[in-house]
Amino acid sequence: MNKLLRLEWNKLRWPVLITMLSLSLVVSVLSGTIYKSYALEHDLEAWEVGIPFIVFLFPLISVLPTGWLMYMERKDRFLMYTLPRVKKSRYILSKWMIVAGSSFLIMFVAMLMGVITALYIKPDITPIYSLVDRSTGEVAPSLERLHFMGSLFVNQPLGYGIMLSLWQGFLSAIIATLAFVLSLYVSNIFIVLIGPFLYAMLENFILNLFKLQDYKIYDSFEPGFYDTDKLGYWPLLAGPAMALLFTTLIAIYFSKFKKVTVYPS
Amino acid sequence: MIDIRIEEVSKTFNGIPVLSQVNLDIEKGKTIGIVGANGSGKSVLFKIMCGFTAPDQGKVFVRGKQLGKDLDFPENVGVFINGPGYIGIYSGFKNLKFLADINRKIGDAEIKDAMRLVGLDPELKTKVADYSLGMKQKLGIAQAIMERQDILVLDEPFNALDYQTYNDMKEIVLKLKEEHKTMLLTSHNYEDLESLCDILYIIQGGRLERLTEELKEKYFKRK
Repeated sequence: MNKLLRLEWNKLRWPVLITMLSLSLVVSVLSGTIYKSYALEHDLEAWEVGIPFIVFLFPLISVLPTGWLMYMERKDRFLMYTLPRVKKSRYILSKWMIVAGSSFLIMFVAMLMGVITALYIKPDITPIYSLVDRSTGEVAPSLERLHFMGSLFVNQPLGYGIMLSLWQGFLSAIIATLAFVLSLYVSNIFIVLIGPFLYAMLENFILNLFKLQDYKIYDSFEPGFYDTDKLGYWPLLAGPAMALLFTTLIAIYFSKFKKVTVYPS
Repeated sequence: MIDIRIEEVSKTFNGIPVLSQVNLDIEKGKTIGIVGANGSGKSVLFKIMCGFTAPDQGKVFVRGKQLGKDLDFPENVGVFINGPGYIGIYSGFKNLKFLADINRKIGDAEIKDAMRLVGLDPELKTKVADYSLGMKQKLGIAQAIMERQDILVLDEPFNALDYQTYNDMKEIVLKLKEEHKTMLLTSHNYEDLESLCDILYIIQGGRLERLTEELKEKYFKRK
């Protein structure tokens, strides 16, 4: 398996490394500049206000560097010539591991760079408090009470940043898995690469329509001011769970109902 | 010694029989040619021999092991079926390296040797998508022979080639024959295979039979 993993990494390493470095640079620049226009309480908020555009595009960023390979191998029948050399299941498993792992790596490293920029590279912010304490009548910090995992966010911001970056990497891997499954069955590169982004947009729209906005994968990706006291932690798992369910249904639909084969028949 | 044995193999697609009770023994070191019209079932037979497709009935043995029972795909068999396969954005060498690195039986030197043998420049950086049809065919053959496979299954290796590449491809097959490889070749034109093969068969209406002078007269000679 190690040989296959190395092989798949060799195929994808340049697009993955280039995306990872470019995205890290973009997230770092955004985290180190946009905060100047905001009244903030904590340095790590600079990262949060810097990344909304990245959050919006994350289903595309997760997929573009990796989703094309399986499509290309199927399209030009390269896949058929792997058959005499390796079992189908081992080959596809190793490909998926590298695709999902690469998407994880891209998002984790880029987001962590943003966290590091916000905490250690940009100048410290002067906290501006907006909450008025009823007992004293003076402005007071509000983040610890209002922010998602507020205590960790305020007291151990690096720990919070690492944890959320890991989670964001994990969600990227789930979205990359959706693209990978599409690439196993679909012969249209546009659907493979844009499909997961359209899925996230559609999920966002439908859940908003039914006032279930706390269950969106976008909210799970960047919980920010998600209210755990009111909702608990479970709704944060709804977005990734629905994406996985959708991925499974796609695989079943194409393999069982449309009878599409991954390998040329 | 028999390298490949096909016993009573039948296959239908959407109720239409493509192969009907096909039997064939292929001796080690022999070159066998199968002639047939487009859509006659040559490629299907080869896919069954290579374990890419399962027969509806019958058995295939490669070096005494039954496909689908003892093994899924025959070992050490070089395959070229329905044209080459490649990742278009990479060079020819890189494509072969990706395939060779699956098992790592050979290194860069052997890949380059195989490319030179078929008349391709291993240093050429051109993407395979920009190769001519002949170059792609040669790349497909290099893929089939690079790991020194001793059984070669080459489906339509002369298809759609210009006269120069056609002659090059014949030279390649002759070189492989001199190395005593067991080879199976197909073509829709028996003249492509006549000078290369020890035994010629024709596949017609799902049936495989020896290509006799009588059948040559019937199907290929102008009256």
